[in-house]
Amino acid sequence: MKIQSLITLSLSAFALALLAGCGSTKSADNSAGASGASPKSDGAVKTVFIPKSAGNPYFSRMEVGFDRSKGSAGIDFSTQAPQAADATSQISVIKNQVQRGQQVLVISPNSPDALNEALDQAQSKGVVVITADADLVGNESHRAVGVLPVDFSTIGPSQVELLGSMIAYEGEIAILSATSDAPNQNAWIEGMKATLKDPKFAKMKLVDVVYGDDEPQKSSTEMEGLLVKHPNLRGVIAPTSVGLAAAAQVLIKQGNYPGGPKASGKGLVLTGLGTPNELKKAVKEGAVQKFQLWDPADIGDVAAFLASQLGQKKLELKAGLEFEIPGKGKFKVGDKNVVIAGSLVTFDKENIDKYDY
Amino acid sequence: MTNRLPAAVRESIPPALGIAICFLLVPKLAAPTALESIASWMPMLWLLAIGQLLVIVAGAVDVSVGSILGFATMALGMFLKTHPDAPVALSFAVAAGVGLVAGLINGAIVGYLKVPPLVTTIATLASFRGLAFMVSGATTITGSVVSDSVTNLASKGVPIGSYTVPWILIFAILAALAMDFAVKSLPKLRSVYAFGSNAEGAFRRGISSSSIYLLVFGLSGLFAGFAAVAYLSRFAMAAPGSAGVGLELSAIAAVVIGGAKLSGGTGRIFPVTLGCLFLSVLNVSLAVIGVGADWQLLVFGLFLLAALGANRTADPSKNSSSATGSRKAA
Amino acid sequence: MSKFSLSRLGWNGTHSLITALIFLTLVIGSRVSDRFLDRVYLLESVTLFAEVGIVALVLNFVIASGVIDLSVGSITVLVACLYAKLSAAGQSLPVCLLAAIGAGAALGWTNVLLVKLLNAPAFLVTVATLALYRGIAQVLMGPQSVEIPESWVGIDTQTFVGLTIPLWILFLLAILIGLVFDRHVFGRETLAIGSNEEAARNAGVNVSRTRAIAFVLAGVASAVAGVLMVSRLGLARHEFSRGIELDAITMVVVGGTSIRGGKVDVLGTVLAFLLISLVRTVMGIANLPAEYQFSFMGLLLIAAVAAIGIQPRKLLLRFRTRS
Repeated sequence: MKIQSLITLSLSAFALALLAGCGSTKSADNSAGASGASPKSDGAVKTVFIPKSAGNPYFSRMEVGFDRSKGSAGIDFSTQAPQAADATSQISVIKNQVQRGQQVLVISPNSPDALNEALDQAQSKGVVVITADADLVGNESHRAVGVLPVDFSTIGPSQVELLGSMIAYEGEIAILSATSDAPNQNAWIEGMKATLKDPKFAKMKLVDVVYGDDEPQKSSTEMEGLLVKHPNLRGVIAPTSVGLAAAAQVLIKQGNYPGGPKASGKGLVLTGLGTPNELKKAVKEGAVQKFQLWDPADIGDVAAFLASQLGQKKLELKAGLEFEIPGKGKFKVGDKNVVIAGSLVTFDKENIDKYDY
Repeated sequence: MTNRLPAAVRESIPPALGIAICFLLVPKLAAPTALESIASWMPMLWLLAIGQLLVIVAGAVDVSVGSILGFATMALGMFLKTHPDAPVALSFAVAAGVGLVAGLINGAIVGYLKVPPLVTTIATLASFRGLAFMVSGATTITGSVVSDSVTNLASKGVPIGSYTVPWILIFAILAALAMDFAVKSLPKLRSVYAFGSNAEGAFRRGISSSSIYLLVFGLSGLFAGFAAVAYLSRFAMAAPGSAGVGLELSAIAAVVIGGAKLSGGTGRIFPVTLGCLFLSVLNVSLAVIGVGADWQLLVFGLFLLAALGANRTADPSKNSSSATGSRKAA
Repeated sequence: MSKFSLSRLGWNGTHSLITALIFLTLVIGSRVSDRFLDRVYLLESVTLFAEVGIVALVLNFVIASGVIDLSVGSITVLVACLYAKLSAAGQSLPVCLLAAIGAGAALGWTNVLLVKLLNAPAFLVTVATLALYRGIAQVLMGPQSVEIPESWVGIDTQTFVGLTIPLWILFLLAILIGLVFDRHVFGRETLAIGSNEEAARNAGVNVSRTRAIAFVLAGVASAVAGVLMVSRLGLARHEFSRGIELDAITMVVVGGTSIRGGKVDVLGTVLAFLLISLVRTVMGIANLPAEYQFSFMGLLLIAAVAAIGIQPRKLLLRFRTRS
């Protein structure tokens, strides 16, 4: 009994020490940060970035943008991720950050509408809400402005064109997506379908769309399922980082990419959207020749600028408004207050080593 | 234990039946790619299920194995980041070591602090997931980090005809055979069965509950560590938030489909192997038939229920409905 | 002997410990941020967890009877989806509410039937229905969300005598459940089954009927949680309320109810609900990284259960030596 109570006590003490410790170091950080930042840029706008989940290199890259722009934009920047990439996990984060006195929330929403009530409450307290990377499709009134990485309507056409150019615009193709209810994915898939109606792509036939839920297990199994279902498959587009990397690993294992050890016929061509670091090995092995993405840091740059401007009420948002970010160039507020931050980059063997994200 | 053979056969019927039904309904499963896909599911699931089996035989349950796998995977990934040329044996040692320590922590909490197994492992399910984030600094392990020595485990192996049996599958087969031998011949492991079927009786004969719990949870963690190698070798990437999430339910399902009872005392490696095979076949079937993403969860739930029903039909002995999976904790 | 009179009310060492931890959490919270001790903020934050708390309270019946129900989170989301669908189809509020409660009861009853039909442990059956019910919700909804009428939204922000409506529901429910366990034969039979099923059966307790009621009640509570959730969020989607079964079990167990059955602590569940929601809130406002939050909740659960593991025995010993 004595040992038991001792262990219990020490466990609880450790738990509390952890909490207290983290709490005090955090608050020390904050006071230091606040007092350290205020002399440099008076009235820095308190801005927090809420990514979709913790431990995702894509959002770390977005943070790089915020970090390099926070000085010039004049924001006091921090990041707080939710515990899981659930539709509702960001709600308590929003509440807590508003209570912390943040003036601007920059959020990559996990759901197009589940955050509506929470964001409305934040806005009613005078907090500026900016969506970044993904938008509240159909619910744009619940945020001030949305910063999107590229013009999403260009993704479908450029992905289809990229795949077409590698398979001589001929053969069966399939799409390996993330989840069936991801608005971005669905918009891009619609774009691909529309593009395929162009006579140029008449000989490319979309035979399947499958969903890997952005999990390595499910994505791999769905990819292997595609190979079983469609023995004549020539190309696969995976417009999602995890899906593309998982599919590439399947091809490396099977060796049936063009020029691979077990390529039957001309081999299977894989492309999609993914971060360079996740695909470097696949590109070097030849399992993926070309794929695309934008630089997530661009989103951070633009969101940091807008956070500062909107937080200080220096900018009146309206469709058609043009503004300039020093050192970045000109940007334009589009329909539904959407700002496009960058453009698509195509990665291949030659250029992939130049990117580190 | 006297009618071991009939029981092993009896327990093998439901999963074997399930596998047969899948192959009948989905003829395309016989295609080489589909068989390879099934084979690539096996090592990870099998290793997790073998570890889980002994925990369940002891009358406990370990729902933290998915998180242990995640923790060990991230730890191995970070190790490979700094030691890209590490020999594959060292990779195994790192993952298995992390898994073993995590498992022993579970065992110590259950054995010495007397916290019920289900509660303990619900708690460590969260804690080990947190450690997966901490050990990796909340970053993902990408393909360029995972060395060829590890990925070759899944992509290379012993050729049999046109098919290559991957090294990691061979490892799982050897591990299963070793465990099968061990539970039949090592007194310490045999005592787990005695403990599971009658904890008090075992106690009277001098089997201490804490040593049993240390043993079974330690082994469960160790095998989750092995499964982490299987994970990394197959996917060549891992994210702290997703690696291994939910696999505990697959492992428990495989063990139960293989005829083990949550109330403890029974469970054999061979039927559980078929249980793993059935789940692998089911996963691949769902992808091959092209069951829409929206339907897969529903179909999975139905199949699990059907498997439970089949188990009941195959098992005439009374199965008390009061098992919570943690009832036996001392 | 003030302790003695408190224990007449059911107050025990567990309660003292959790209460002390609640105060400690509040103290730490106020140190972490000077904006933490804000009544409205604390109320809103605790209300976020009220749905889980309600499920946890009723889960006490299932757990006290010695089994477990892992499907509560999936019942919550399936009922939420059905409720939103009905409202979108133009049904009136009373119809939708009745249908939701009925659906929750039916899903709980389905668990009972499956346990009986398959003769399998409830743990496994509810693992299967965890997938099944959420799967049905997914098939029903597809990728869409379904909104409810604007006037049904926001029950979580409406207050009555200082508390939000979900918290009122939770506290009233706690009193009711406490009374059932204390006074009603159903509560006593539930505990009897949990401590020794055979003995209870021999004493004439209808074991399967009592357990069946427990599962149906858990289904109904999940339905209530689902309705509250839809009102809080304004809409329903199939991926909501994932994993709340583990949070609910944590509250039940930290509160002192035995996971092996036979012992229930309703007041403890309420205190554990307060503690866990406050700890989560403090971790949030402290900007503790998500990964630490995971580990910390796990440590808290083990520490609490290990501590509780000691408490009742000590008290029991003291009681025995006195009498």
